[in-house]
Amino acid sequence: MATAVVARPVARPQERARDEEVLVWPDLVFVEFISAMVFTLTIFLLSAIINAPLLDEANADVTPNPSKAPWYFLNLQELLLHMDKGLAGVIVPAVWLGLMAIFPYFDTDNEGQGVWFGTENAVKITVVSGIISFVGTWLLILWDNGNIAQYLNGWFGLSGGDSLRFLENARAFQSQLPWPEWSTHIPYLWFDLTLLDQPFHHLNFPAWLVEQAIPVAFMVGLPTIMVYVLWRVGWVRTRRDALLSIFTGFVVTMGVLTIVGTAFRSESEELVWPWQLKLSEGIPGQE
Amino acid sequence: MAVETPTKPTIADKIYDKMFHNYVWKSIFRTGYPNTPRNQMLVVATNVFLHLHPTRIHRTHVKITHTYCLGGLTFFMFLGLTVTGILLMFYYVPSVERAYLDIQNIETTVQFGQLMRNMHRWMAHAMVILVFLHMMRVFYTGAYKPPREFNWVVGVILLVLTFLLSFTGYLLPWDQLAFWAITVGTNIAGAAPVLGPKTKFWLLGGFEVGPDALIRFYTLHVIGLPLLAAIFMAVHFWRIRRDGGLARPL
Amino acid sequence: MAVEQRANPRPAAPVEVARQAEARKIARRSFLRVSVFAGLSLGLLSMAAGFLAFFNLRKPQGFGGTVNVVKARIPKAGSDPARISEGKFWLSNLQGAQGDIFGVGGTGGLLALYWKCPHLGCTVPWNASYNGAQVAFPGIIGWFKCPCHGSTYSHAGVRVFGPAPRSMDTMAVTVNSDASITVDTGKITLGGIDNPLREVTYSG
Repeated sequence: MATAVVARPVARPQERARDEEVLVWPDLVFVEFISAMVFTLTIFLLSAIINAPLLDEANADVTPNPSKAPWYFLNLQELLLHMDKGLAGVIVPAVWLGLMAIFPYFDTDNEGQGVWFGTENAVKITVVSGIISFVGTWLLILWDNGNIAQYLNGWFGLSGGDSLRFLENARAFQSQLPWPEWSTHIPYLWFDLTLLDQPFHHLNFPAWLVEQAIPVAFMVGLPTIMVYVLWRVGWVRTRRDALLSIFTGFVVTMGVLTIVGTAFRSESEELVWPWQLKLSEGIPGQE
Repeated sequence: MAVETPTKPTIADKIYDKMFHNYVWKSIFRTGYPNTPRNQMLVVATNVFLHLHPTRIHRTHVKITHTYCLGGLTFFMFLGLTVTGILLMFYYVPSVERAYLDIQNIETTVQFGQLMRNMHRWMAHAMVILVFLHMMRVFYTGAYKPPREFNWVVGVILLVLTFLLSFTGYLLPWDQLAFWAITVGTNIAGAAPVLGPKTKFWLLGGFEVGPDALIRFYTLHVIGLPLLAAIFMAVHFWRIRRDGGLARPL
Repeated sequence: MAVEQRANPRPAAPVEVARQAEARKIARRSFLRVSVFAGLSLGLLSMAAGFLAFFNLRKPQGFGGTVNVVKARIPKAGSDPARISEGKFWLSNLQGAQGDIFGVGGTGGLLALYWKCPHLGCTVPWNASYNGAQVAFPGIIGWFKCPCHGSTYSHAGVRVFGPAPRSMDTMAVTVNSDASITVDTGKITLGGIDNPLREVTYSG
């Protein structure tokens, strides 16, 4: 029996619908030309009006406060405030990029392509996921910054007393709970392992809990719960729907983090309103 | 029986003929002006730049609300950044002694120098935003679905390359903004478990931002990453054509 | 559209010619197309002009442009001229009628002398110990003396001897407020016996 290699039908380009086609020149070329012109003019005008910033010459001895990364990395810089820096700065973006790259291998159904929001509930899922992520991210930032506890106390007079202080923010789990002495260095390897000058031997459990376990639980758990709930409600029916929810959640979360990092973080990364923002345009004290 | 005689050519006719129907012109542009369907298809098929497109395209794909031209505009920003970037290179030396002075020189004494620098910077920001919006467009229109799986992966790589291009360019003015942004940025990379410190050391050519970091970032910014991006862009565009243009409903 | 439908796969030659003539006429009258291409060409032209301007140095340095000489490098009045190599000139600071060999009325001051010999282009050095007696001006020590063919010039660059056709050329000198001077090395005036009249008063 001959072993026929059957090509998957999905691997082939779609049949052309010749009667539905228009000419590239002029229908497409003109659109491209006009949009390129619009952008050229916009950039030209913008450049004529606003100058690119140039501060004092680089000086390794004077650190501006705050020091910020380029704006598109401020989402990561904001994440850094809330968890272990290796987790926030490298693992989260790397894992996310990896996950995003395998989207098409997770959702291999070729239904629903080529139109905006191709599935029945797509718009609903997108809007709801967006709102949940927007509110949720803000709540988490405010909680970890201690603002929620402040509001509860200041506005409603609620106070958990010292016994509930560990709920104030994530860091309080480490500082406000009576951890026994041994829990700060639990050996998990029976030999001394050193990889590239870094020791791997003991585990500081409270620090691990606060810097890694809780953030990971939130970052993995909350999207999972969101998708699960949307599935139980009956909105999420396919893998495409699940991806829509997760992707929207990611985009909105990253957007909120970028905005907070850009416009709400002032000196020493304190959370302030944008109009109270202090930008270190020059070297402090030398302006 | 009256025979219709063609009208006598006017001066304008003769000038037009001399300009566009001569041997040299025809050797450059083999087709006539694209005002007939035949010429319109020929001009796309015979021109190397327009050949990026097919000669005919599905009706829904030319609707501006389908793509908002985001991918094309990202590429356009890349071209514009190449032009302005090459111009800036004429006046910029990537050494700690000269970099900042050169930027000041570009801003103050070079004709249109400030404009070129501004355009380079704003186009860089625009490209980062556009490439992200393009990714969102592709996702929400489900265009990553089969048979375009791999092109989505290429797109993710191009997204990363765009970030890296912008990031490496950030250091070059060698002012306080550049220096500390790169310090913060590379510290983030250096925080990776196990490999972090080594990565940072490798990236900066030292333990902190200095002359070696400047030349590394410069070389990556002006030749290394653009070449890589160009290669992936070629694959990206080629695959769009091979996969039958833009995605459309089954 | 109508044109498209009429066109056969292999149109007869006269029909094609007539059709093209028609299309050409329409094209010629197409005001929009003409304006688009005119606008594009104008834009490209202005960009080309911009590129040229971008490569045109506004403040050229060194020989050919302006050269700044700080106060410390300017010689004292009456002393030997200073060699300003980046501008290819000798800077003489003359006292009174010094160097005014033929008595045209020099009153002293700064003179930038292009160091290229007007004869065949050799670089003229300052010979501080050369005695004027050899060229019929006894008593005056210190002359510009070209090593190639012996042309001899006074402290003010005035030719007194040799095959050179004229005196040393001079450059425009401007005194700045901080007692430094700016020499425009692109602005060279041919030398003559009136060189001393070009002296710029300087009291640094």
